[in-house]
Amino acid sequence: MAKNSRIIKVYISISVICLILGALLTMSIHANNSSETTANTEQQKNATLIELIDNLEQESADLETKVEEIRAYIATASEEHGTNPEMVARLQKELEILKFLADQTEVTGEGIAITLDDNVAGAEAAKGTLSKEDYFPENYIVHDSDLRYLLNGVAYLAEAISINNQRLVNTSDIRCVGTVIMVNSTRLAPPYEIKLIGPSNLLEAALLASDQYIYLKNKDMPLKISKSENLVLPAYTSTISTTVLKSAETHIPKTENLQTTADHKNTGTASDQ
Amino acid sequence: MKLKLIWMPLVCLILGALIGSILTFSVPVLYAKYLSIAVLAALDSLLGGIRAILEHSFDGTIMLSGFFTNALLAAALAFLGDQIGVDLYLAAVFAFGLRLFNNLGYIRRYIVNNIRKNRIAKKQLKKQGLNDEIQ
Repeated sequence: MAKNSRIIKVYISISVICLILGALLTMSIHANNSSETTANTEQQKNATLIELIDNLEQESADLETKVEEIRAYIATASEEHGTNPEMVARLQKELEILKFLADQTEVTGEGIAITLDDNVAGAEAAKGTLSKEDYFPENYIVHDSDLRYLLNGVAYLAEAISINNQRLVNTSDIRCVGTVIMVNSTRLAPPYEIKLIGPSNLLEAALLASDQYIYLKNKDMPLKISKSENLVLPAYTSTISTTVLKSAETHIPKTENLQTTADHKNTGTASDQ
Repeated sequence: MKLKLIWMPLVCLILGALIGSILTFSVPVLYAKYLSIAVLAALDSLLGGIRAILEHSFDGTIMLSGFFTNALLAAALAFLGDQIGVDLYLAAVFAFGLRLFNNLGYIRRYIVNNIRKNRIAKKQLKKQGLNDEIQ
């Protein structure tokens, strides 16, 4: 019996070691496998990156061929119509003028620049002196309406306007989007620099007399005006889309008709004279 | 009794493997070498235990304490090696490996000798039987 219990003890100790060995073995195998799988995922990542690069290269190659095609088309087209270079030049000049009138070109001229910033100092001071119930942070920042009303007072004198390098056109919007102001679907941050091209003296006078200017000055908003001889305003770069707009004329004249009507007008004016 | 008990270590080995696979906390690559040392220490203790059984000098407490102290020393060596930038854990791996093969050699020799002894004893028995028949 004593011998038997000794044998059982032996087996128990051996079993404990076996238990530990088994657990450790599987754990180390696990660890080894997991490190291999991480290597695999990295390889997969690289593979996807390589694929991405390949795709982009393919895309750029396609675009290059497209450019070549278009260039070839231009070459043939100019060959076909190259018989009248005078007309081409005239059309191009007309195009330039139309672009200029449609605010599609960079423009320069005399005018004024207004810089309007958030009243940070005022807000800090108010935070210190006013109680929490009386402190309204929205009283110390520039709102979209501030810019709109400010422009309303002077825009009628301006020939071109931009806010923070966003050219204002007939479809431009000045909207409030959370904490920022959106112009031409582009988010702007303070300080807002409004550039107006126009007679600078008149612009300045109109600005100083406008209600919004007085209102902003009373609110202690940091507002600076500077006159300049050659302001530079960028071109309008966003899209122009007309989905429902149509010419009100009963028929859109074809090019040959346009030619004849122009001729007709010319003769008309000539006869008038 | 003995036949039944021989399954106990094997069952425990499988049980341990199951536990190891259920405990799926992934071991960081940094500690993989500590784990390998622990595996070696366990193997060493197992073979040493079998050898001790065959030599009739087995003591469970000594074997278990040997396993833990050996594993601890090896881990300490590995840690020290990590600190000073020398692969000191290789010393532990080397020592464990040497002991493994030593123990395996003892076990092998013991088994081979045992088989030989048995065979000689059987032959002698046969001879004796023949002699008895002749006589």
